[in-house]
Amino acid sequence: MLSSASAQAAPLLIRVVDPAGHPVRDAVVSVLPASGARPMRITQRYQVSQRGLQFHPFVSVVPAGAEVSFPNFDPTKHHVYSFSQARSFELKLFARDQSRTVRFDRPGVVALGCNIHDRMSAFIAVAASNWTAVTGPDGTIRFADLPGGPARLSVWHPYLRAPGNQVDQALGPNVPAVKVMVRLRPPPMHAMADY
Amino acid sequence: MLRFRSLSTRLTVQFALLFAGAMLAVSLALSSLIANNASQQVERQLQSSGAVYERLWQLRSGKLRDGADLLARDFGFRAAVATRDEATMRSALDNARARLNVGSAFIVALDGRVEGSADPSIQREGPGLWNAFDGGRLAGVAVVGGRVRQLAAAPVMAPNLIGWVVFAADLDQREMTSLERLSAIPLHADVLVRRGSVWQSVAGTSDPRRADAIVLTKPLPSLGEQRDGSVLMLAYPKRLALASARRLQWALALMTLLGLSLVAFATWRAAGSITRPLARLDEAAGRLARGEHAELKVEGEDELSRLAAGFNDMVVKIEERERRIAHLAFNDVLTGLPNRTMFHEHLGLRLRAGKPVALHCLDLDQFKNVNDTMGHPAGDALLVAVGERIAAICAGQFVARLGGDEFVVVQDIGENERGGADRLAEALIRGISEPIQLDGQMIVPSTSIGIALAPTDGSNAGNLLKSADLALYRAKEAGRGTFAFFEESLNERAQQRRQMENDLRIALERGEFELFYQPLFDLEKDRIGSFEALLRWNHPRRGLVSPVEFIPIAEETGLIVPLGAWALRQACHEATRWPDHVRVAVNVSSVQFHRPGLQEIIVQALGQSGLAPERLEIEITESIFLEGSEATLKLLHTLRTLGIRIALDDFGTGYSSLSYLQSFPFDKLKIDRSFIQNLLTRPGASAVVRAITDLAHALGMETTAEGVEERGQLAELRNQGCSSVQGFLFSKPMQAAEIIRLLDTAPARSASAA
Repeated sequence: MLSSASAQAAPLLIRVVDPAGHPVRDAVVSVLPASGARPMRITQRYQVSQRGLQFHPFVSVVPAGAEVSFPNFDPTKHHVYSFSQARSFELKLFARDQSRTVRFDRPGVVALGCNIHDRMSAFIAVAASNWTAVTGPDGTIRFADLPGGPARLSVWHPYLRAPGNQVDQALGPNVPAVKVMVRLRPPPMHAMADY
Repeated sequence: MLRFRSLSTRLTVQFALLFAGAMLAVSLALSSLIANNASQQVERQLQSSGAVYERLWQLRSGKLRDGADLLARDFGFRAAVATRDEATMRSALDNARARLNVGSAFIVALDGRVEGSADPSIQREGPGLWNAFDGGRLAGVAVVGGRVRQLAAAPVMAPNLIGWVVFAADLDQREMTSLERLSAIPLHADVLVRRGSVWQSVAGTSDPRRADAIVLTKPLPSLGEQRDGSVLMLAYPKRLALASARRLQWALALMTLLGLSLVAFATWRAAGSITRPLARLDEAAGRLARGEHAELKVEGEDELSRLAAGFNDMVVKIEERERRIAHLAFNDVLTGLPNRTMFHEHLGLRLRAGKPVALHCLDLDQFKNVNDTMGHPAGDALLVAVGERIAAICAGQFVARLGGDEFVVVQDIGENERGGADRLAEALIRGISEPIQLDGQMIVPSTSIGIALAPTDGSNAGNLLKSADLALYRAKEAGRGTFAFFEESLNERAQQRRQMENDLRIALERGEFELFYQPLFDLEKDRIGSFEALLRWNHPRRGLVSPVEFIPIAEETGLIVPLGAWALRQACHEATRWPDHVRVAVNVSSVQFHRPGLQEIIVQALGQSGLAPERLEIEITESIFLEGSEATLKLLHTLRTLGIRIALDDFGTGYSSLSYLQSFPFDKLKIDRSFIQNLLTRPGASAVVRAITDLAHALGMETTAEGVEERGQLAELRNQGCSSVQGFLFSKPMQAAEIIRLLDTAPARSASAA
């Protein structure tokens, strides 16, 4: 994914924090240069597994057109569904070691749930831009090869307190680093263990 | 401070006020306790009603939320919401609404829009509700579609939050009524919602905000705007709440009133029982103070009874003492007869009544002798005995002792009944003169009585007593053991005497007295031997006044003392001009003898004049021996020792002359003129004179015959051996100047006389 960086490209360090200054993970950070987005290439097999009555990973980024498999490692059956506009689907009651694959064509965030287990939830961000990534525990993303010039930066998070759970901001040319402060809702019950 | 005339009223008022105060305090305390208790009870019931309502509220809220939850979790419903399948969503909401029997159900989307409701007016409330739900407030009161409702919401997760299912129940009168029915007391329930600054009732059965209500408010969770609020109000009209307490208070008030009346009555009764005897005592003390007899009835044995008994005892003793004091004041201590004060009272009373009375004034004859010779105890015994006799004789009449030996009897008589007074006076004289044994001696008392009759002899007690005194004086003059009635002439005489008394005093000061001298012719030596000095009074109006008239008065008044002294001095002085053998004789009254100082007067007269004592002759009468004493005899002896001669005047007229002759060696006896007057005519008269002269010779005394007026008398007297003569035959009393002339010629005249 980072191998496609051009010669005139500049690196950018993005850091997402909460008002207390703590790093925020699972934030989907996306930079859309004014010069135009470069589509993300499908480079691997994407997977959201079910293990221990949870989806893994909680938040993932996939290129448009990517196929994501949903392997079930739990002894129970799951009924994975999504009512999201980006991709609405239902994988009704499949058992252990059964796998289904769903193809995601339109960019946007797809919220995943299990109709049997309310606590289970996960999100798949279908990226429109090559410069899209999920923050880890350190809350930082490093893009090495962003094209120069102005761009638009958007941060999405499942609990972000903003319309569409997303905040956007303009990004000047050749900005080496940016810190984005976000305000989060208390997580619902099923995600409490992680937050 | 109130003042009471009556102890009973004071006790009643004080105790009644005290008890009333205590009872009122207790009643008020009880009353407020009852009211407090009732209020607290109502408040507790309101609290419990409030708690019940809260529980009900939560139950319904829970029911609503459960319904919403159930719907929110339905997969198909979530799919319909997530995919905005409006028709499916609305039918699912209608289905649930009917199942749960709630007013309305709708969706609030994440963007604040309201979906699934047929009522477009609900749209307006969408943003407000979103705020509440997004803030975590999922149940409460909100105004939705213009009506106040109870709301419960449940989030729709698909799988993340896409909106809230909301169930809303109307809050209306029906709800409140059902709540009111759950309460044990008749309370009014209401929900108030604040709009702006105004609280508005939304579901009440009546206006509970009346002032006379006990109110409990409970805040309800609000889902509206932040400044809006809603409360549940439970109200209980005070009138109803405190009705039972009021009944109790009325009963208490009634009991208090009853108690007060009882206390007042009981206090009045008790005070009466205490003070009634005191009031009687007060009244009796008043009567006693007014001098009336007062006696209390004694009942029981308590302090008051003892006080009453003591009072009675005191009354008896006071009355006894009063009687004794009165007796002492009005009665004579010695005889027990009424005294002078009581006599005046009684007589005054009789006279004012206009009743004719005879006032007898009694005076014992010679009482002073009894005192002098037998002592005062004997005199007192005599007075007591006489008093008893008078009282016995005059039984029924008023008898009093005025003092000394003076008694009075006030006799009631008829008009002009002089005879009755006569008879009583005679009976008194007779009765008193019964012999009496005193100190072993038999005494025969005698009395003189003066009687005055009222109203003739005096209109008041003082006058009448004076009249009776004058009559007594006259009776005494008339002789002892007699009585006399008052006559007006007595009064005149008394006035004359008083006049003369006054004149005498003045005369002494003015020197109106003069001494005349009557010669005594010495038959043996045939010459004038002496002159008897005789007092004459040259009264400015009456001319010469005879000694017979004024000497007794001078003696009574004591004027005789200075008058006699003057006479002595004058006589001695005059005598010094006479030849040495001529003496001067001066009469000395018994009064002078019995007064102190006679000896000094005589000695002074001799000393001042230079007259030899042998030339002074004192003439006395037997009367000086009547009240005579050792002192009289002693004085006579002293005078004789000095050389002064003593002559006994008026010899033969007295009582028992001979014994005196033995008791004192007179120098001369003067034979009374009564013997001389009849000397030539009465047979035996010469013998009497002879006997006297013989006796005188035997005792070594000279004799002088008085009142010689005839030559025959003179011859006879010479025969009988008389030493000297005195009388008109020889010379009348003459003035001092004449004596000098007479003495020059005396020898010739005497010769011729002889």
